[in-house]
Amino acid sequence: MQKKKTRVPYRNPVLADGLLAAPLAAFCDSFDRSLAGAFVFVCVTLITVLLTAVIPRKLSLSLRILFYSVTAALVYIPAVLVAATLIPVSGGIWLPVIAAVPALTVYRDRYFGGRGMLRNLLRTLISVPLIMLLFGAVREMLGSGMLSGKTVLTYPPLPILCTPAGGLLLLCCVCIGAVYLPNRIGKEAEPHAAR
Amino acid sequence: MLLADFLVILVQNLLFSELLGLPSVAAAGSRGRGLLRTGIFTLLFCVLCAGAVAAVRSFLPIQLEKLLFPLLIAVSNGILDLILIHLFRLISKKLTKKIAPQIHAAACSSAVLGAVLMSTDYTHEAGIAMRYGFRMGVGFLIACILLRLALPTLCSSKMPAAVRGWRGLFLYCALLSMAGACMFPA
Repeated sequence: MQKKKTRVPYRNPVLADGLLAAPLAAFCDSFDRSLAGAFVFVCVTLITVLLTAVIPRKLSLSLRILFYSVTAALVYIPAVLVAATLIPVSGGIWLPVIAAVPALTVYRDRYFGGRGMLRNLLRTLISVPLIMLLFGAVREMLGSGMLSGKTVLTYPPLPILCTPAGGLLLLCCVCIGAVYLPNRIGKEAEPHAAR
Repeated sequence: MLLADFLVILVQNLLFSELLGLPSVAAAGSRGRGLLRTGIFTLLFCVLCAGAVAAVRSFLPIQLEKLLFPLLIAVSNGILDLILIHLFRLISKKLTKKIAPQIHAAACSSAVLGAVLMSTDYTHEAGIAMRYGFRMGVGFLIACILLRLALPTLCSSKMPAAVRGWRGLFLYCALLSMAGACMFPA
């Protein structure tokens, strides 16, 4: 029971290994920016993982990393062009960073290698953009009192969330909660199950 | 000039001001020993990749420059990774096995990507870009040393399990980042 409940966060690259922490903390400070980031992430991850599935495992890791990175960087070009027309936000250095996530390059085989590639890909494509959007919405709402540019709160309660350091603190809290809460629930559920 | 460079290193520290390179730090930190090696290789990649991209930049069409930079960085980092692994393999296979994860982590680090992308806003010249990359890399290395000092405590069994490891490292980075933002406001 406990194992099942802790599985979801542990299979998520953001909550399990802290990947995408920098773009989440520094770039996703509003809903619109998170939407642009999520779009680029979904496009680049989906196409890169599917294209690089044909690269043989016999190649050395250095060569595979080279192919993975180049593929992600190539896919990034059309993805960012489409994102710029759909969601016009300034990406700065962060959109390329989103496209060069370690889960697609150096740890690609860990996350998307082997049998469960499609299942893991689907799970990542659903969970990571969802976290990005929620994260951006919460930060914008609590940090500036707005949501997608519209005023929601008259007084922003936590303006520090608009800064990268505040974003990282919030991300840490989410990641810690994602480990702590399922374990806690699991422990509380155990005596009931025993009865 | 050295003092000015040192101040710039402190102010423009990639890890604490831009939070770049956190995943590679987290991956190295969870194993404990590879953090300093990751910092050194990131410094090397920052310098060489910034120089390589600045040298090739004049051949790129100006309209497509920004779109092609990630591709250039991926190619140059990948080739440098291959060369380094090959060179270390010639020296010792045992050593290569030990340091290969850090070389790969540095090659794919967002710190290198960020440093090179920032250097492209700063200059067109390879020499100046390499110096800029060096500053960024040294800043990252200093951050790695700071984190390495804190790592035994952050990964010790006295820490609650939910905060132990990279989560504690991120919390520590966030606090240092806040302190840095207070000391050196933009």
